[in-house]
Amino acid sequence: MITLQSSDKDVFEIEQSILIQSGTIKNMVEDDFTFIPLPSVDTETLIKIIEYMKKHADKTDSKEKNIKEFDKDFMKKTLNELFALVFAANYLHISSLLELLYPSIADRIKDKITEAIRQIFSIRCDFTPEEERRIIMDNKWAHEGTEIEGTLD
Amino acid sequence: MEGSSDATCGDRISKLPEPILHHILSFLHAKHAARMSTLSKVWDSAWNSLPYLDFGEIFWWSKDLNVVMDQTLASRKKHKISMQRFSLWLSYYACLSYDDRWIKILIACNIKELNLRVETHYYRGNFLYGSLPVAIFAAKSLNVLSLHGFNIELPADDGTINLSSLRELHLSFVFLDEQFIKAMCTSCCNLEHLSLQYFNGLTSFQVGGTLPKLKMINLVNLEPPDSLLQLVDIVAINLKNLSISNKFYGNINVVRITACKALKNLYLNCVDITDNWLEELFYSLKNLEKFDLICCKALKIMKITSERLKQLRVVDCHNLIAVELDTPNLIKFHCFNEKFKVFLG
Repeated sequence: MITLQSSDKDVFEIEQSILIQSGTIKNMVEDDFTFIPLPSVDTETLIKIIEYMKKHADKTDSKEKNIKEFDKDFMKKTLNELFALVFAANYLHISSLLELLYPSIADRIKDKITEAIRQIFSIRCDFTPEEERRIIMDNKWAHEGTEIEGTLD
Repeated sequence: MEGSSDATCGDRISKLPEPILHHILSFLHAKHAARMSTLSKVWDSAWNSLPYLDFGEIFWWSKDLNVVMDQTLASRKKHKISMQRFSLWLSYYACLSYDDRWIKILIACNIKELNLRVETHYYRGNFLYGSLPVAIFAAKSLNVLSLHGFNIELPADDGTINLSSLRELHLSFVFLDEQFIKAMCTSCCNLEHLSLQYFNGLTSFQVGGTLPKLKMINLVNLEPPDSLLQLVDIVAINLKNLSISNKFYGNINVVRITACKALKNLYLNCVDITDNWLEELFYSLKNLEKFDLICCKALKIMKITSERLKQLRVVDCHNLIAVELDTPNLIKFHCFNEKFKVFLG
């Protein structure tokens, strides 16, 4: 059994066989660590990561459809939750989870106008007005088109 | 409604490493990915270095877009971006043929995956195919190539191709000849997966033992009178999956595959095999585990002896009158046609 500690100092005891899906944890286990602090993963996100790894630990053929259903539901989260998961999955090197997250996040951006994306992601514009004008000119072709969506979720 | 500002986290997404931003953007059409560049410097950089360009279906083609394509590719070449994937679909009315120049730039950027598609049209009894930029045949870094709607003609000078890193080749609605298949067999020594769907031109499909890594072949023939294929002859020692389909009873009357000793899964649809051919097949191919036979008119008596066969499906073989199986490990047997039905497992 391996003990994981979240940034909120909560501890979780999980079987090694489940945790080796994380490349990062696998390396630490190979170096004989049994207590692994994860200062960049909060409790809420860690619980979700553990849930994911537990489901994916048993990859027999019969479970495949089951796992696909789980993955579909697992992605039904708020954008902030998905970001937290991307950070954690990147830090923990869980490539199968990252492969799920990329298209899910892309889907949320897909048809939105720039202003909506800026608001959802809280992206601050750091261009000078002149720079901004140039970029909009260069990419004029990308802003033409019919699918415009301004919702914020 | 989504909370748009998290005071403690602010703009989290832009703090992700650029490769992750690239992976997210790789699922967007190039247009949507390019829009992101107006958000901030991080996103402008992410778009300009994006190694995935998916120009998907283009109906809104114009002269300006020609310039856009030039600029987008030139910028990547200048910054020595190693291109992962480039996809472009042109409708017939796009009035623009594929530019050799773009393919050359992509090759200079070590492109790994290329998907080119042009819509074919049926005009006065013939398919009209797009012309393929011959520069493609020098893409030695290419791992995956998908072509749809092209007339596949080898370069005029020496007719050789250099696609030595190619692992997957997907061709659909193409016109090609035996010369191309031969050149492919000589050059694509790393080929693992070959898919030829709705092709025209070939009268014989022959692979002669020069593709040791080939694991999967999928052939789907056009309907007569457009399908000319009569002979299939495959020697591929590591081939595991083979599928040959005609959409209607075609002309294929010679199928030689008994040298594919590693074959595990075989699917034949509207291919007229005989009782003897079938018996000999199982005698030669001891590793067959799954066999699907659909719409075979010639088969009357099916005799199979196989230690390894696990799944057998025989559908709409209307002249079949008897089935003899010596298959101790068979777990699933479905056989149905006009006269009878058997479902076991």
